[in-house]
This record gives sequence, structure tokens and C-alpha cells, in this order.
Amino acid sequence: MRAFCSFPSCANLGHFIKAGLPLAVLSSKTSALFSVFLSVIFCLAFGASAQDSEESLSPDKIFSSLERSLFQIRIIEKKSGSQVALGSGFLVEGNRLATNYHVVSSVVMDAEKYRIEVEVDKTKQSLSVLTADVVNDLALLEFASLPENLPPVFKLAQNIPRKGEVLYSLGNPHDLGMTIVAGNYNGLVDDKFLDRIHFSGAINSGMSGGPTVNRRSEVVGINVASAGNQVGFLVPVKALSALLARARDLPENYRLLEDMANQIGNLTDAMLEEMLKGEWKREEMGQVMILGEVVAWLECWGNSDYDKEALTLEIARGCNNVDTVYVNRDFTTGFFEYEYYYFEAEEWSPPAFYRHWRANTAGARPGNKAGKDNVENYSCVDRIVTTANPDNEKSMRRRLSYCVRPYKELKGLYDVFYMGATVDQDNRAAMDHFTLAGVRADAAQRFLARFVEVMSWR
Amino acid sequence: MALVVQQVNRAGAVISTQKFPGHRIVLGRALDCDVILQDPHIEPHHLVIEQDPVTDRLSATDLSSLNGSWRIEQNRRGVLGHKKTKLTANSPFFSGQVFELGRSHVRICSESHTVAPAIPLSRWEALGHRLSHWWVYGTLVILLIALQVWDSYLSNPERKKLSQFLLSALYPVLGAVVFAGIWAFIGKNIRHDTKFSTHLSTALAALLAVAVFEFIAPYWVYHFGVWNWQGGSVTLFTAATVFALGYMTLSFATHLVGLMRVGVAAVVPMVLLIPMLLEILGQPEFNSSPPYDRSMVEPAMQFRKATDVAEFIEASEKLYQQVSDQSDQSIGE
Repeated sequence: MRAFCSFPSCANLGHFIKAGLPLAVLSSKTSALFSVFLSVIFCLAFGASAQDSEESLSPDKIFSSLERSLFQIRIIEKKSGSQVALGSGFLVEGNRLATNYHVVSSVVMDAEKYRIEVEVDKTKQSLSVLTADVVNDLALLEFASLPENLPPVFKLAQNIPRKGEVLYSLGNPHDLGMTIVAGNYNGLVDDKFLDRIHFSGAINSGMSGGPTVNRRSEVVGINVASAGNQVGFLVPVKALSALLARARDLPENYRLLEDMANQIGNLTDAMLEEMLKGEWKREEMGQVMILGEVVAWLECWGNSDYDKEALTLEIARGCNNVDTVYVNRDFTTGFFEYEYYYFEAEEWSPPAFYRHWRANTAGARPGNKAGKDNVENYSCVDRIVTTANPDNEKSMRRRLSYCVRPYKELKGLYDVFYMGATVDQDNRAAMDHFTLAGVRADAAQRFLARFVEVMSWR
Repeated sequence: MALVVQQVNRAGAVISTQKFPGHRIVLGRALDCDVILQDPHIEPHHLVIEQDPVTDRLSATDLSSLNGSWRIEQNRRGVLGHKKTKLTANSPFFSGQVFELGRSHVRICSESHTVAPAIPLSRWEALGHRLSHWWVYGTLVILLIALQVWDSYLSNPERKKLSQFLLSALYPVLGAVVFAGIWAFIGKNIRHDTKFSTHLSTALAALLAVAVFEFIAPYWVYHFGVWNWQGGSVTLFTAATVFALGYMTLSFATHLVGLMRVGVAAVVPMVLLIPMLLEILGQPEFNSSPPYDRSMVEPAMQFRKATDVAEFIEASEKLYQQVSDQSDQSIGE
């Protein structure tokens, strides 16, 4: 939407976290300057933790006891035989490797092209993806043939840490070698649909999939993303416990993509359920009533512009969720947004007004990213619809469009795109719009039926 | 027996024709010549043409002129070529031969020389004449300017002064005047017929037709639901109009007939259509932008019936089935 993209919040907020997400990096030569920068951070961190001694282990003990159970995961492009992405992983129950889904996403989505490799005792071992929790960005990898003398597995913590507790994050940042980073537990991130631990420590590219442990060497979270400046995010360990429990009895004809589609569908069903459960408070915007904030995990923004020369008024408001689901490099889903746009030009003649309104509503696009390998093209239904007004007699005549595109591998999921634009007033008009990515038909239809009735003239 | 002398221009088109009784004529600048030519590069007595009274054969003799007399080669249709040969005494030639004397060209024919049949009058001739009235192009200019001003107001309603819109309205009119000027010049050379005001009226009418079509396109697109053809239909209509304009103009200004005229008139429209064809052919299979209805007109001009929300929701439910069927098909392929 042209009008919306002038608002920074719309374009950027949604990608704030995502920008830091693929911590699995393309291998690159690290600059000397960067190494110096990192070592400074470590010195400070060690200094702080040395004073803080309890019954638990010191960082050097933790590191030496866990070092052998940590692995650098390399994604190899088969034809060139070169690594294309790096991440970290750690040995868990059943001699499997736990890591982030996004580290191995290219293997899951294109197994013909990529394979996974780790080094155990200086010999290369190849692995396959056993199962994954795409919503919580976790994957379990299985050795093709189990190497001998495997080190001990990581223990998972049973208790939630206290706020401020010192944690140690492990991983291989920027291909520099296995590293331990100290930081603090800062509870769960506010206002997110999915639980993420806020870890105040330097998590860097390449540490993705590595464990973060407490001072008893128990895993409390899995490194997943960073917003820079010592703001890191972890997946709580309970998601890994659940995944391990499920991995114990996978059905014979288990298909990972089917499972992932199910996970995403369950997530978006739950999100929509929560949105539909609440009371939808209507708010004023110009001469229309619109939907205000519905749930805390949708971030809302807004802006307006009154042009004194042209005597025009534009108002835009919208909400979208920040924690989308990463499926592959050019495919994210689980993205919800709804937006409103109001336009008024008292002095203009109706043909001039509608020429502008036509242009203003012609560029709407869904806010999620997906490519031709992942989704089909959109198909649309367009109608001129008159909706009744819950408050007064002023009905609203609108041009409504509803577009749907099915997912290719993730069967049963759709991206849906809705937009309505009023066409009944000479000098003012309003647009309502939503995008729901990765939803099932039923839930999306229930949302549509409710959303379409919200907007009305004041 | 008589000889015919035609003065022709470099293209071979006739400027003047004179007929002389007798078997011998002298061409030159001297006042006692039969054909007196105003060309300083010609001798007072330059060339003698003779016709044998018995055999009717023609021959030419150069009277030792400074610049010589030359036979110009020409094709069957009388168009002059570049090759020329110098005349000597008593050179025989056939009726219709063109000679170059100094910088002038004359064609010599015997009176029995065959003359091409009449070119039929173009059926556009009468229309062309009607279009040339001053009130026709006057009205067209006023209509075109009015429409352009209105259109430019609709696109920029925040501008407040009429003068801000007038300038852009004058450009198309100026374009039509230049177009008419060029074709008047071409017509003058080829047909000795300028027809400036006819060309002007045709060009203005074409511009007006395209402007009107562009203006009404959103209305019929909104009501007949072919939104994605809005751009394409304007291009198609423009190409058709340009073809009609070219066809009319060629019939007013040239001697082209039949397929030749159609072919030449089709050149510019084809150039207009090629980008559109390329766009249709080169359309990517995958498009991340939803193809929703983008048409919209002011409430007073809406005649489309509205449905209710229930019907809309029902239709959108069917959409899921429809896209799933499509996706199954594409997998089956």
C-alpha cells in the first residue's frame, strides 16, 4: 500500500526481529577488527562472572565439560561441495543434535541440493533432519551412522531461571571457534504470541542453534536471534523437551513437511482464535469507525497528514505481528496485519476525488514474503457490497476483494488478502485491509466474516 | 504530327507541358527557341529534337553546349534514376525520354505516347474536403483543449489556477499543427495538393478520440469488469486510431493505394503494439501481487448492483475450493 509504506513502523517494525534471525551465516573471513571487538566483550563478561560465585560451576569448568558435546553444523551445497551456511548444535537425548530449524531450513525445503555435515573427532559425519518444530524454530538431526565414542548429552533444565540469573550461551560465532558468552536471563519477551527468552548477552551469527545453559550446565534455552547490542533471544527449553518427547514415537509414515504445515496451521488457528475471542472495540478515524487494538501481540501504529494547500486529509492506522514464522530464506509465514486508510478532500470534484482514490487503492500488496517455489498465484473474488451500520442508518457501499493463494509443499495452508474500499461518498473514502499468512480456510473465513462488518460511517 | 515537351522536377513529376506542331524543335535560352528555358547553365541554343516524318523515330542533337545534354535513365513508371549518358549528335531515343540540360529536366514525347489511365478519386476525398472547413478544426481545437484542461484538473485537483492547466492542453494542439504542416509539405510534393487544414482536422480528431477513450475507460472498466485490460484497451484503441489517421493522411497526401497504403499506415501502430505484446508474452508465471479489482468511479456514475455480505462470504468460500483445484492441476502437469 503506497500510503502505508511512508510510515516507517509499517515497513520496518515487522522485520526488526526477523532481521537478526538467520544467525546461521554465510561463511566469511572475519576481519581482525571484529575479533578484537569480540574479545573485549568476553573479557568484560568473564570479569563480571568471576565475582559472582555460588555452589555452581565457574565458566571455564562449564565450557570444558560441555565443549565436546557442541558441534558446528555446516550446510553443504552438494554440487559445489562448499558450505553455504553455518550454525551451532548440541547433543541431546538419543544422541541426536538439536539446532535451530532456520539453520537447516534449506535442507528441509530442498534436500536435492543441500546436505548437513558436522565434524566429530576430526571426521566428517553427515546428518539428516529427523523432525522439526518450525514455529519455535527447532530441529532434531540424526546421524547417518552413529559415530563411536560420542560425548555425553546435554541435560535440560527443569526450572525456569530467576530474572537476572547469569546464563552462558554457547556456539560458534562467525566461524571463530566454539565460544562461551555470559549474559543474564531477563524473562520472556513482552507481548509476543510465542514465548521467547530475552537474554542480555552477545549472541552473534553462527551461534544459532547453540544452547544457553545455567550454572549447573543445564540447557535453559536455544539461541535463536539477536537484535544487536547485547539483546539476544532464546527459545525456552520446554519447546525442545516437547519436541524430544514427540520424536520418541514418530509414526512410520512420518512426513516432515506435513507436520510443519500442521504446526503452522495450529499456530495461526490459535492466533486467530485469540483474536476472535476478544471484544472488538471500534474507534473513530476521520468519518469512519474502525477496529482498534485487539490483542497485545499485534503492534499498532498510525499517522495522519493534512495538506493545507490541497485541503486533503489522510489518516492511516494498522497493526501487525512481529514474530513471524521463518520457513526458508524467501518464505516467511504466520504474518498477520490489518490496516485502515482514510482519505478526504472536501474541495475536489467527485471525478477528481475518485481518480485519486482509485490510484491510492491500486497498489495494495500482502505484507509477507513468499516465492514461486512456495506458493501459487493469488486468485480473487471482487464484489460491490452494501454493509449495514450497527450504530445508525448510514449503510456503506464498498468494493470488496478477497484473494487467496494456496501453499505448495505446506498443504492446507493459505495466504489470504482482503481489501475493501468505500465507493459511496463524493469527497471521502476509507479502505480496510488485512493479510493472514499461513492460515487454514475455516479460521480465515471466520475472521473475514467478522472483520468485514467492522468498518462503518460515523 | 506534333512533339510534346514536359518540364519535370527531379522526382519526375511534371511541372509544365507544351505541345509543338512540326518535326523539329530547338531548346535553349535564346528567344528564338521553341522551348525557352530559364536556367543560366543552358546555352542560348542547347538541344535540337527531331522526328523523322516517315518513321516517326525521335533523335536528339546537342549543339556543342558547355555543360552538355544528358539522357537520364528512368524506370518503367517514369521515376528518374541516377545514371546518365552524354548525348552525341543524332542520338535516337524513345518517346518519354528525360534529358538533363544544365540543371533542368525535360521529357520529350511524341503525341502518340500512351498516357496512364485516371487514378480513381479516393473515397475520402469528399470527407477530406468537408474536414478542411475552418469551423471543423476550430471546433476540434476547442473540444480538445477543454477535454485536456478537464483531464489535467482531475489528475491535479490541488492546482487552483486555470493557466496551470492550459499549458499542457496546448501541446497536443501544437503537435497536430506540426503534423499537418509536415503532411502538407509531403502532399505538395507528391500530389501538388497541400490540404493543410484537412490534415489538421484529421490529427485533431484522432487526438480527441484517444483522449475521450482514455477518459471513459475507467467507467466501462468498472461496469464491465475487465480491469486488467484498462491499460491494454487504451493502447489498442490508440493503435487503431493511429492506423486510421495514417490511412486517411496517406490517401490525402500520396498516391499510395490498396495494400501499400494499409502497410505504410500500419507501421506506427505496430510500433505502439509491440511493447504490449512483449509484456503479454513475457509475463512472469508467478506474481506476488493479488489481481484484485482496481476499478473505481464516483458514486454518481455507478450503476453496478451491490450484493450483501453473505453473498460475498459465500463466494470467497468457494475460492478455496477453486484455488485447490487449480493447484492440483498444476501439480498434475
